[in-house]
Amino acid sequence: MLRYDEGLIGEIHAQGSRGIVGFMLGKLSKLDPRIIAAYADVGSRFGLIQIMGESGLQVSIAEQSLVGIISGICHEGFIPFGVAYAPFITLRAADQIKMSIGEMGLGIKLIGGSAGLATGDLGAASMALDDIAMMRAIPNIMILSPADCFEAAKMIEAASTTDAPFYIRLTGGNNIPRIYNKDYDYRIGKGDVVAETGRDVVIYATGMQVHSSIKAIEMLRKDGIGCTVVNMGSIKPIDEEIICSFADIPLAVSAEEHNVVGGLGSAVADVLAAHAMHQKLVKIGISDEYPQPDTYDNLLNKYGLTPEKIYTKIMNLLFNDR
Amino acid sequence: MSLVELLAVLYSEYLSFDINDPKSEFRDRVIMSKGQGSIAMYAAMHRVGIIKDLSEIGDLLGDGNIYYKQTTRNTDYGIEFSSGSLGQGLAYAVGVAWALKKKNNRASKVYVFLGDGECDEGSVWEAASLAGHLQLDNIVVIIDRNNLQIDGFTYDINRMDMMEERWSAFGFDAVTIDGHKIIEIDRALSFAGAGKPYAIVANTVKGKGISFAENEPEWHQNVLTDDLYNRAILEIRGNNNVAL
Repeated sequence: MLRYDEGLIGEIHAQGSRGIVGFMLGKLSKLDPRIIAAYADVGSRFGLIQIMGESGLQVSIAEQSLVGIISGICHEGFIPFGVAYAPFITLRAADQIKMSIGEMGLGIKLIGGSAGLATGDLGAASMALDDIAMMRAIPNIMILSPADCFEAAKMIEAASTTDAPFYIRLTGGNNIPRIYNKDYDYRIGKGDVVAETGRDVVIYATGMQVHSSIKAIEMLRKDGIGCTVVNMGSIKPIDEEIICSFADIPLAVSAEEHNVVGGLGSAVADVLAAHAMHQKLVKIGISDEYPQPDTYDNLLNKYGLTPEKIYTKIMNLLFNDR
Repeated sequence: MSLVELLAVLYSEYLSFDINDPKSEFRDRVIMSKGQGSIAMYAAMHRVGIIKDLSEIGDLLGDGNIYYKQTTRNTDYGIEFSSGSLGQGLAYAVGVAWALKKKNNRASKVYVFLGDGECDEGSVWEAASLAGHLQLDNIVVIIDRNNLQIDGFTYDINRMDMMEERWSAFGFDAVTIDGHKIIEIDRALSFAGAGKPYAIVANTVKGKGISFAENEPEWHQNVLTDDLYNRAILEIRGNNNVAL
């Protein structure tokens, strides 16, 4: 177990969404030499090459092989992490993941960087907006999506200490706003209320959208609207208990950098339906299309994922019913 | 049938595998990447006692079995990985071979059975390239070159000529043999190179030893009637002069 004092937490927050991977795996592999990081030509971007040393394995631009190779390494008793950009470590390697995780249940850990809209300037090929949907349909896997660097650190540490297979989806770029400032008891599979001003609206958010949602409810508060923001850091398993506990709130909104088909919003809807909860749920995300290339900010704006857009959407839902 | 002699020689003469300690660190690992070779592998496993009684194999269907038409991972029985999705086995082998070296296990080898049709899959070559680059000399790839796949003859579908040269180009020591000649298989498996993975291109005949099935695409997957089964057994017994 790492001790998270103020200094370390500060360092963690300074890493950004990619640097945090090398920073953490470097530290963890010193504590447990079974921890391996294999990467598909992203070692420099994720800070892995120097820090991993003999515990690192460059597999070249070969994400399908990456998944197969770490499956072989896992079979031999190691705890291997596979690191690549999110679109390629998921959809590109979908069949390998199906066999290794879904069929064989091997406890490999996949980390997908630059998920969501952050690399939008490069176009649809470089954006993972469908990875959650694909991964949710594969049995055994835990799908985690941290709200900031510290939660990412906690998730990487948690993944390294269990035999289960994981997919950790990292959204955002190099500057990640802080959500968690102090050490806390992280538990896989639990939602976390990160901001609460009332019970007119509940927002289920994941990744960078947790921060946007907190900002949005500050604006809503000035208009007298009380909201609750739940950080859904775990998309599978999904925290059914917390969703049921907020099902009496008149309006639920989900916010994610993912297609509205098959992502966090769909996972929340599954829970509401299964428990016969009659709650209106509005999904904010990518509207079932692949965006044209644009800056991160422009894309967030286009798909309603800025604090201002979330605020406006909720006001319209409450007062104009649209 | 194209794999039978290869499996027989490997399992009976070369494979280091203690049936009383199937998870021994120092066992050799066999990866049946061409899933359709699984049943032939069970026959070899039976011959060396990993499968003690043929009844253990059952009907290859349903919950609770160990043996299926395509291997399902079960490390209690030396089935290291599942198969069925072609082109994945060599990547597992690269991971296993790398991990063995990291553990300083110099004793164990990783044997991978690939089909020649399977070599159509790009992922085979992705992993092959890395096996060569990483100089994983604990990998032995056996390519079952039977020239047939579901839609017909490989040379009509995707020629894949110069198979041995392809593997050499990817950084392997490579050799081509007659995959039905015991002495050639034995010689090929006894080779112990250093610094490079090893590929054995085994020229084989699908349905070998059974006149009505030999080289017939329809026998890629088919079911024997009782009559055909008896005929097949008679032919194999006659050709090899052995008791079955």
